[in-house]
Amino acid sequence: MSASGDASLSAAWLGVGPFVTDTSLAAATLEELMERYVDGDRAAFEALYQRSSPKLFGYLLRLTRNRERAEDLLQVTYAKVHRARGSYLRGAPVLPWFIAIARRSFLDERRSAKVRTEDLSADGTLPEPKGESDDLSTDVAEALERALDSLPEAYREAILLTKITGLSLAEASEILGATPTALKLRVHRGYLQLRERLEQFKRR
Amino acid sequence: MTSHEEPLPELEWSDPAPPSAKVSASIQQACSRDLEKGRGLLAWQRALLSVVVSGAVVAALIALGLMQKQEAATLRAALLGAAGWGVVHLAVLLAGLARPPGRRGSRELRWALALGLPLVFFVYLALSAHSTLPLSRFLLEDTHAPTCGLFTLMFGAAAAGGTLLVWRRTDPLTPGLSGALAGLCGGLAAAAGIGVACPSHEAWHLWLAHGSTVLAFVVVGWAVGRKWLAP
Repeated sequence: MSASGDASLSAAWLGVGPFVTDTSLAAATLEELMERYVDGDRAAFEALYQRSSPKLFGYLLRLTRNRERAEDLLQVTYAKVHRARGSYLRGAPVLPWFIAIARRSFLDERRSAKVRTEDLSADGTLPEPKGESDDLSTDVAEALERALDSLPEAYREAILLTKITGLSLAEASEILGATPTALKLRVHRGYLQLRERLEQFKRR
Repeated sequence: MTSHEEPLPELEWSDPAPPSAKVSASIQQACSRDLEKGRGLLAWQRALLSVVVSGAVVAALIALGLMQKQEAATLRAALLGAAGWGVVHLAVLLAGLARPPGRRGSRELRWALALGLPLVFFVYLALSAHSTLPLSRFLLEDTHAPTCGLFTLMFGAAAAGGTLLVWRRTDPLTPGLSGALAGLCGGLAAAAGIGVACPSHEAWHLWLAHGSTVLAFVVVGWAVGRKWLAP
């Protein structure tokens, strides 16, 4: 970790330093916004929501393949964030914190759906809804999403977290419980399969 | 360079449509309630509280030890041992729990700490034992061991439970591992404290009635932490 990283971590640990200053909301980092939100700043939450929800919703939409369920899970995730905001340890990266909560909510929901013996696909995920392609602007984009859906879950999640959501290998490996090296390998293999499937699509 | 390190050209991912305005409004409304109640304890305050919880457990056990008539040299050695393990406890707390999730170092290193330190503690107990009975004789003769083990479990449960409560909902990334480290802190506090309170220096007694509880609390901490430490 860099010297400035150490300094900011120490300041966060002590609850002092340049975290809740007069930085404008637009220029503030997610971590600064989270700290203001924890301190009771409503505008900070609105800014935090504007900045974090597209990534979180995209992640949930690709996990569930169902817009309605993704919206439900988004609400569950933010409700959990709100309930646990007092336990947020200052200095913790916010997006991995949110994504980990979202992923756990998804897994809990999938587990309870299994118990309720809902109509699940073979890999235990919820069935892909029809007529959702309006989310995707072009045929290639749609083919890419379909190729991603067809990947083994380990590869799909690795790509989803690192390449699409934008987490670092270290952050994604914490969430998935894998080593960064193993995760890098999954991303690489997943990308090779994606490219192969896209080539097949382009040749058609 | 291995094959997985070769860079691949990036693919262009489209952004999905945002959540509906109704859902966004509902989230914003729900998350604007009770905003003034949000502020929780800072990391150093939680760490301090954990030290107080474990310290109280160790102090109670030391007080029990001082009430017994033990040789001064034996008591001094036990107190030194407890102080040494107190430092280890503090290091585990600071490195494993007090840093924010995502900045706590590698998962493998923390697991090595959670599982390796109980083993190091077993070695310490072996080195501090004055005698080793044959196991069959120990089982027949040491009637004190179950009581001592129960005491260690009770005090360990107080220390580990307190630590887990202090760090509740703080780690969505590795709650099980952080729970194991909280359990380790509680187990070490109780086992180091009982070393002062208990006059026995027989190896089997130390391993089974004192040391095994540390490992037990790592396992219990892992299971409880998965539920309690995740938001």
